[in-house]
Amino acid sequence: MGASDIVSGTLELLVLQVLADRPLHGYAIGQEIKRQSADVLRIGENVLYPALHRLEDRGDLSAKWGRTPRGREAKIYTLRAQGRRRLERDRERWLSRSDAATQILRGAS
Amino acid sequence: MAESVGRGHADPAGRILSPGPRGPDRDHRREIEAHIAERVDDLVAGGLDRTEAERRARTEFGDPGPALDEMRRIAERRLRRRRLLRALDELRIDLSTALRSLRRHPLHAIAVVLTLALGIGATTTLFTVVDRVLLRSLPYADANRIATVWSVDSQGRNTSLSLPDFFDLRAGSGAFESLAFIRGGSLTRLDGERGASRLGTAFVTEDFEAALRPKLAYGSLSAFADGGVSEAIVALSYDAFLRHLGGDPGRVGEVLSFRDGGRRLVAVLAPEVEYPLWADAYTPLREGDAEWVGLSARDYRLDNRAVGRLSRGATLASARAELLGIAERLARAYPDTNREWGATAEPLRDLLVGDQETSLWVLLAAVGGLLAIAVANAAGLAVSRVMSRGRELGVRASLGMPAGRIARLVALESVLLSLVGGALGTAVALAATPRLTEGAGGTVQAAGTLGVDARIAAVALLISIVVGLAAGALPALLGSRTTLTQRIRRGDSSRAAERTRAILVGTQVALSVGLVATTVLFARSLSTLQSVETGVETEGLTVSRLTLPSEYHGVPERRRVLWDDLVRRLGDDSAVEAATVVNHAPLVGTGVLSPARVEGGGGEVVPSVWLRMTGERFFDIADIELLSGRVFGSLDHAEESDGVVVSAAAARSLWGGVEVLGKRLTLERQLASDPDFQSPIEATVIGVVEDTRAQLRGEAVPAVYLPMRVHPWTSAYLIARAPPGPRTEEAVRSAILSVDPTLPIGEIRAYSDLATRSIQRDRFVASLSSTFAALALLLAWVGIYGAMTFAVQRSSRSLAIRIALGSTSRQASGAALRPTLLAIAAGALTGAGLAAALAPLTAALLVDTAPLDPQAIGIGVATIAAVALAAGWLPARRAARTDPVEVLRD
Repeated sequence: MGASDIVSGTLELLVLQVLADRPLHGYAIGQEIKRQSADVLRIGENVLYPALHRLEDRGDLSAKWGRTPRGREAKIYTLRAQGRRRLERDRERWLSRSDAATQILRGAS
Repeated sequence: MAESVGRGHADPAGRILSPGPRGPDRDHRREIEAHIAERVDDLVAGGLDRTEAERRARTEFGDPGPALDEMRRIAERRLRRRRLLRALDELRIDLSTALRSLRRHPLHAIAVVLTLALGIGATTTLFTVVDRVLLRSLPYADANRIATVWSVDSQGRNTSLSLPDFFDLRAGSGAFESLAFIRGGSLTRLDGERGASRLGTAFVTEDFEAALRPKLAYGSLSAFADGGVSEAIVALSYDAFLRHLGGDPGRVGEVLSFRDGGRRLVAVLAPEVEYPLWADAYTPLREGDAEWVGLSARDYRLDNRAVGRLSRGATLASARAELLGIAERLARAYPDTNREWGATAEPLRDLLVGDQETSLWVLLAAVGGLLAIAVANAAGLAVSRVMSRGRELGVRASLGMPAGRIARLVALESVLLSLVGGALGTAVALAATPRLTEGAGGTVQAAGTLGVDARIAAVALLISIVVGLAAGALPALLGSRTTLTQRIRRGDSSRAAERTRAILVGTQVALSVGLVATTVLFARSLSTLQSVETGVETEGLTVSRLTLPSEYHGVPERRRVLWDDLVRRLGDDSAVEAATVVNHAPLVGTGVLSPARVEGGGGEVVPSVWLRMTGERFFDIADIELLSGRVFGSLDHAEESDGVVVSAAAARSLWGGVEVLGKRLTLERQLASDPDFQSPIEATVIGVVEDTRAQLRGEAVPAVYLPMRVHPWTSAYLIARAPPGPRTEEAVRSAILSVDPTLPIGEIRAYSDLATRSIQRDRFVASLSSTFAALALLLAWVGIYGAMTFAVQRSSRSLAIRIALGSTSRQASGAALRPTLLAIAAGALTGAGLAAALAPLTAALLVDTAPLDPQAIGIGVATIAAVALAAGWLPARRAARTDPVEVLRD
């Protein structure tokens, strides 16, 4: 599944979810989404970085330069309280809607 | 490598590594580079060699361009938002600084607010009037094409035109696409329990709607187009609709009953429709109606109007030329009635607002002067404030506050004060406008109750801001320009401030002199009007006009009995000392003219005289002085009497002198509209009385007085010698009801009110202008006082040194105050020039008063000198009492 297939609202939700456990840099966020979705979801970088900046601009994330576990300089993103609240709210909504959509699609097949 | 690959996607390296133009962009590139490096590490860990891994990583990433663009957009948006927030924050801080500083100096704040409230209040009030009367569009579709049509007499005066002339003008004119005739008359409405009431009525021809196309509140005028043939209809003015039908729109369509039958109410005109001014009702003019009587006479030029809509392409000039051509043809065809008569057209707009236009513009100019004085005053006060805050502002500047922000801080205070002043001023306007409306009369009054609406409030707000900026600009400039050291040492800057203040004082003085001088002219013109020899005493008299219904036409005997009864009943009332009647009272502005021939006076032009049919005791009650002969005795009121009394002006115009007792004259006819008044009256002069005027703002008219009992008129003013008031009104009402309960009762008013109506505008202008002048003087006093106090304070050190070095205190304080005194002198001189320059503008409003009057200007200068003296005395004394030791120690 290509990155562009992911609706931007969904991508942002996934980013917030991945960052809920710990702060990560951009590359690691993409890898983590891939890993947790068992390689099904791959996020295109051209979508990921603007999304990160948007979330930061909106105040859901904070970002500062730091070191990756390999010791390389990278921008590390941290979930802020506001982002955590949004995650909780949007996650419930997304899950209930996708359940409903899945049900319809099952019936149709 | 960079050269070998196409631009589109790959050489990402080249693009990424090239240094970004701006900080955020570079940051974004670094972030992407970090991403690629991490990816390379992962790929290498997976077994790829580093070169291949690098190539793979970049290919996977693709062209970073779009992502970079998007990131830049986000960053820019963020930056803009931050800037705005910072600006708002600064403004908030400045605002609270300004508020704090104003709170610390409440006297300054109060002085500025009051000054501006006065200026803005007066300006808003007057603007409300000007807006309503002059700026609003007229309530008629395409009103600029509407013109009124007039006959022009041999002296070039526009007068009412006759119906036959109207028909000929309409038939011959191509310049008008529609032309309507309006006959002034009245309808008597019968309304069950409320009895009969009279409605001033415009009887109109079928073109009425097409010509005027007035704005309507309810209904439609289309039924007027068939001339009321299919159904009797009526339209009401909004005012009459409120008075008679309580403003209930459900009653439109109802048949209203009138003495001469029912009429269906088809329309109510919009409140602002005011042509003709006296019309309560509009109804088609039908042949055979009472109003039609007499209209077929070609020389019946009374109470008729014509109004038309110019064709597209026609101009007022072309219409006038055409009308004049037709009038010349008519003069040849009907020499008896039309010789020397012309015709012309005037824009409707002139008729509706022309009378008020000049006076309102002049008053607006005056109030503009007042506002300018207020601004100069506020600016002067603010300049002093800035200077006395020298240290504070200096410290701010040295702590790094940029000059622009200091200027803003100072200007902000001024705008804040001005807004408060504006709010207060608008409140003043709200309170003052209704009173102004009462005083204005005429068109202003007809425009309805003036309120301060949203538009006016917006104008007041705009004025407040502009005034605040104008008053704040100078001090802001002075406050931001000077350096810290200057401020702390009180050096040049305070001299610059003093100069600025002097200029501001000069401006105030100049404007005040102009205003005072102009006001003196208006006051003199008014007093001229009020002191004219009117020849008639109006005080203590109450009048009511009574128009007899059609049953009284054609039966003079019935009218004679009616007037007799009426006067007797009214005179018998204990509230009334004496009573009489007259068909047209002096000074009320109306009358009937009759051509008068005298024996031996067979000239080409027959002079016209004003006919006054009078009841017994008229001369006594109106206190018109007898010059020679006698006034009517009871015998003269007998039917066969042919005695008349003439006014001195009539004697001069008919016989060229006042020795006219026993002379004979023939009044050719009295009223062309009424068969009762067609036959010539042969008369003998039995007395000469002093002159009276038709109206105050006019000249003495030649009048011939006849006994009402001999020539009973169809309408008259009832005159009661009794103080105006409810008791007298009741007496008049019951007298009328007792002789004929179906008679329509009109307004009952003080004769003096009616008589001074024609000078109401002069009173309005004079009283408003003197209010403005008084306010201007008050503000100038505050301004001069402030400037002098400031000058004394500023120069206390040099004063002290001079005194310590041996100057007398008088010399020393003279030196300190010299700049302000010079400014006052220069201002007074400029003001005299200003007053002279304003002369042509005011000339149109003055009666028997020269617009360029050295005496008036002298009064202006003297007044301001007195004000300056009063304002300067205290500061000057303080200066003279300067104690050098105390000041120098400080």
